[in-house]
Amino acid sequence: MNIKEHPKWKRITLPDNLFPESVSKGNIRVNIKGEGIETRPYSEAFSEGIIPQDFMLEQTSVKDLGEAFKGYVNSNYNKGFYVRSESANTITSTVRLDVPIQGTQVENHILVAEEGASLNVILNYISESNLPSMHYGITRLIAKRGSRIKLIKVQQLKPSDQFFDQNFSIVEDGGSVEVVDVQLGSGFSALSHDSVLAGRNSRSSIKSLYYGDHGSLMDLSYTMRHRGAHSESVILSKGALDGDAKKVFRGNLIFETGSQKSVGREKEVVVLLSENVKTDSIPALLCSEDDVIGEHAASIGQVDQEKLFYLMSRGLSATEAKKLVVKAAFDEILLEIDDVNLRTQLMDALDGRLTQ
Amino acid sequence: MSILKVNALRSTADGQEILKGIDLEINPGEIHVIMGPNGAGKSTLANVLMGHPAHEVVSGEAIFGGKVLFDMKVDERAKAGLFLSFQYPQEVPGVTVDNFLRTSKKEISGIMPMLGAFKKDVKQHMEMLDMDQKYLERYLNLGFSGGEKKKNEILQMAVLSPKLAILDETDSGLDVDAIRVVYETVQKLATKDNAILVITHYNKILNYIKPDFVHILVDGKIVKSGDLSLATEVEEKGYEAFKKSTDVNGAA
Repeated sequence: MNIKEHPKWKRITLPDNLFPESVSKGNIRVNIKGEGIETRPYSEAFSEGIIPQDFMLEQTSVKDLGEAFKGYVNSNYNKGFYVRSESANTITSTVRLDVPIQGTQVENHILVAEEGASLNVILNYISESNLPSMHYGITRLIAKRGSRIKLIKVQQLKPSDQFFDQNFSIVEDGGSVEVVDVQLGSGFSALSHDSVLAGRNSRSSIKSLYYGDHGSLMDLSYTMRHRGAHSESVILSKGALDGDAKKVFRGNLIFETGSQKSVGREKEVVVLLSENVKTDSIPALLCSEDDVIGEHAASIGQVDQEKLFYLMSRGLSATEAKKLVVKAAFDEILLEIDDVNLRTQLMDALDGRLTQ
Repeated sequence: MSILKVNALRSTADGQEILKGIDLEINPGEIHVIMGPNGAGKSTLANVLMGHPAHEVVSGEAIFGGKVLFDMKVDERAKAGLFLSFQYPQEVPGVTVDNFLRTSKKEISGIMPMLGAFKKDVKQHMEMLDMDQKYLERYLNLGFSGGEKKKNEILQMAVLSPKLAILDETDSGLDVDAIRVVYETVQKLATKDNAILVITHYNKILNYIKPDFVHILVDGKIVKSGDLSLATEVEEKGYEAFKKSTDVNGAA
């Protein structure tokens, strides 16, 4: 597909080789636990017309990776699943998708939790090729009345890979969407999570963790749009940057008319492990409703000298002490991952990265 | 051979001279107490010996266990057997007390401690310190009261069994019962092979710990050394009397 419009970003230069021909390689490994879960390839669900058209979430979103990106994914996707839950069991209703990235992979996923249902999804991206590879994907989440979706996205690609990921979610009355986003790999990552808290008492949270080192470029954008009254959102981002990594964080809390009594909180914590890293934080708070609470907090800095001294006085080397502080900062997010094996694997991976 | 020998130590922080020539020798089996008014440089001495990055050694030397102390990094000093009980222990969320004790023991002894024996050892020390076992599963110092933090410091001292433990105002922030428990434990941890340096401005602790030497630190210098009777002298006369003697020295 020929795309004339090359997206432009103000703070991070995009790679030149965007939107290549998609090449489908490797299969997504699907592991389903629990009853009342339906999964089928996205293409099949699309052609059978079961993708809920009234939730064309793209229309509700303004800031994302751009029209070109969306158009490219929608017309070139070669992978993806439609996952729907009717199960009310919060623990067993789990779908784990292990996604090997080889070549250029373009994915469309849609996750639906029916009224009162629960759905846990893990999307785990791993490199399975020595050649530079790319992921382009859109994941849509629809949490109907009183339902709950928890999505855990883990990206552990190799440094020569690129990762472009767009997430939209819509949360109805009393529903909740929790997203845990872990970015540990890939040389270039651009991602956007955009959540619409459409219903009364809807809840949405995004908890993000990232680690970047030599040559890493990251553009992370998180948006919470409060439409329903009494809605509640949380954006929590924790990261560590080493080498000459560069990262941009955008956190947007938007309170639209009708979102009275809503609360949105965003917090960013960045640990700087080298003097050559560059980190930009762009928090924004937009209100069209006056009876709301919006909070923003950021803590960006080197590892606390007093903390390092304390840990070193107990025999830990400077490197070990720094590692401990970073891991401690990440703990809050990693504990959100209920799958113990995956959590342990991530902790080990992080350990390896921090030792380098 | 002495455990620690400090000669004419001078230090600065932010360009300001704090220690102005400290001489101190500590031998195995000894308990030393350093007393002095606020701002005399007591905590600075503790921090300089441990290697706090904000303090610069300007001149003088210190030999610890036969090695030049100021050539060693902070963790190397710890591995060589130096321990500091912090006046303000740091909170480290995400790391449990249990995990930290094991990590620290492994780093300092060079081998992973045997789990069974280690647990028993820790349990025993916690009982001695009147600490609830549930603290093991809590994050290091996070949300601990002042007293719990200090007990946790002494628990680390007990587990790591250093050659020289420096206790920097471990009594501050403790109630009377906790002071007793903590210093009685410290006294029990004293052996003929190790040494303890207690820094305080409060001589109540001398009801529970029996020092061999008492030093009075005023304005960056040890102005007088003696035995326990010196502490009694402080109680009677206050530090003012010692301050005057430095003024005289300074004028001369």
